[in-house]
Amino acid sequence: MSKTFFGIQVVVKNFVSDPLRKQLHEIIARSEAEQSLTEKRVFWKRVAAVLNEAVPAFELGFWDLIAGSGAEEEFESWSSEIEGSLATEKEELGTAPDEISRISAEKRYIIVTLIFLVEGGSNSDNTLAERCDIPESEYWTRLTFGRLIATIPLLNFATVEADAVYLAPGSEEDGFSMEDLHGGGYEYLKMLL
Amino acid sequence: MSRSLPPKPFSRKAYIDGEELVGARWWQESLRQAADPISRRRALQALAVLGGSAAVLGLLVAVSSSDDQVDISMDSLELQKRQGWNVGQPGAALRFPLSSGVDADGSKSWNGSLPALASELAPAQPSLVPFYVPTLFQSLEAPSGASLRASLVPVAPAAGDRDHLRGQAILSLFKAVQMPADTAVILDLEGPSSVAVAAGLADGFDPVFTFDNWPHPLGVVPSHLTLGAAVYQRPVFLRARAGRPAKAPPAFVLDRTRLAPYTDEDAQFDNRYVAKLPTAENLRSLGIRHLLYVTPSKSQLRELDDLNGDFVDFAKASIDVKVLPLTDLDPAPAAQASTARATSPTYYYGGHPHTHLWFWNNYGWYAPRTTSRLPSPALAPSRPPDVSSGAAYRPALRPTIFSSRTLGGGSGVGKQKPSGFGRVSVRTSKSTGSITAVRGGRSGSFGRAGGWSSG
Repeated sequence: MSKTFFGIQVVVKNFVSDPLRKQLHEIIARSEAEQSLTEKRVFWKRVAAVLNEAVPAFELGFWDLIAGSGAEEEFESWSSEIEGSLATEKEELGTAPDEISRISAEKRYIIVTLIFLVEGGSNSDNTLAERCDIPESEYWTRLTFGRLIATIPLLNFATVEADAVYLAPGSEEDGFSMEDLHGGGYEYLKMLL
Repeated sequence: MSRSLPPKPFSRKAYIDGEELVGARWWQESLRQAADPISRRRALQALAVLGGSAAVLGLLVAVSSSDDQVDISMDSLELQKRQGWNVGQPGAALRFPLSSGVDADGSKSWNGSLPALASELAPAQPSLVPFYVPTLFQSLEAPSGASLRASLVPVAPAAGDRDHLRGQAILSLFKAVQMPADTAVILDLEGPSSVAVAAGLADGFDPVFTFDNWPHPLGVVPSHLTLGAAVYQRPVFLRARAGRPAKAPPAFVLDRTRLAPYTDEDAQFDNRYVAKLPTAENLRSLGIRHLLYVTPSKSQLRELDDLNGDFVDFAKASIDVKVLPLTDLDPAPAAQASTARATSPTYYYGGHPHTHLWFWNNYGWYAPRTTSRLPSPALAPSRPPDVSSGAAYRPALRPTIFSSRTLGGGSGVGKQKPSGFGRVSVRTSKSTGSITAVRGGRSGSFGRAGGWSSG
């Protein structure tokens, strides 16, 4: 059975006082290990609602829709690279965080990643195809990212085979600097207009 | 097909709550178990053994919505190699400009040499062969190449042969500094123009063609025109190869329409591709320290997106890249006025013989010896009034769809095709593995809408 991958990653400017990170963290932390279709929809509605509030603070991003060959591999690739980077960075960083750099005012960006694997030809697939059919000139705009995130609660989760959400860094006091994001493997991220 | 779902079908497979990352990942196991055992994998395996008949394409469009069909995305070139250069469009013609049917020598016997084009136009120097991309020329050798050879005509330059003359003007600049071996040229022009400029340079530069696709009747990249131009210029290249110094510097020949906009998702075949150039390390091992990047005009003073990473790497390796738009090379005003009756006007940097060698004042890599021996200051090179600022170009990293992609902050994986780039969707039968339709439309993040072409 063919599958379709949909992934969206967005860098959000977040100040310590902003509720975005805390809200997302709570939604993820309170999510059930086993979810019904209704619970799944509620979960994604909450995530989408929180992100919707932050659309004006979206700075960089990347999204992709891959149908058929490569879809499942792409899901595995995104999830394993993000989860894998955690292990790598932990080994590299050790256990004692650098308090000075972690509270730096420059490190104010967080990365939110949402990925999905849906059945090919399903109504979820059709919804994604329709909503992602965007002129190339509008691929990298905040409006597009807001619209794509708003698509997620519209999916029929009966036909969603896998999904994942990631928020990095996890620490409330940490963040990425623009320098971090312009190097170190994040060069693929696009500046959002 | 209906199936009953468990009350809580999603099962969490990963949960992370740490300093570096917070996240969760779920799988719906019932869907995984329900997956059709005759899957995309089998369809792909069947494709691998499928014969090259294009006749199977499109036969089953009417049942394309049945459960027997599976849609897969394939690399366009791979599909063409399996199914023929004109896959999905076996009856469609390639469109050429009016051709007199002769090559640059006025000969009509060019068609006998077509199957050998890939070997004839390979670089003369073995050290440059690894960087030669013969894909386009090899389309003539393929099993399906007979129909392509029958369709092909030589593509002569536009009236005036301006590109060839501009190539000769660039060559004359380098001859004025004794053809330094540490400077290579990159021609990034529309395919036929690149070929014509390369022909103008060929007496002093070893051309290294990098055309990495096949033509298609609905191709986004009109590479059949590039192929026709190469056929036209073939005698020029062969003559130059025989008379050129053995250690001539390379001229990398690119087709900038490789990234042409994909505008009509229902009526185009995505034969776009990403340029392949030697790495900085490769260039240094070849002894290259300077690169002259030739673009069509003053409005194009930086590299195309797929070269950005390469050029930044070149700069990091102390390989200096500068830009020269072809429009900086013009005939002298008198020659412009008499172009109609002149045999071939000579082109100069800045459009005048007196400004020609000022090129080296601007680009700075070398100083022509002739300037110190000029008899009169009046004949010394003078500053051209209207040339581009290409000499001031410096590569700068910018985000492009070809930027290194690695998620999560690890090391980059290098330039790669973005999802959906240079790919085409095909519909196959799960039971037989045969291709039943080819869609000219998009896939991946380049859009998915569009109908299926039945060929």
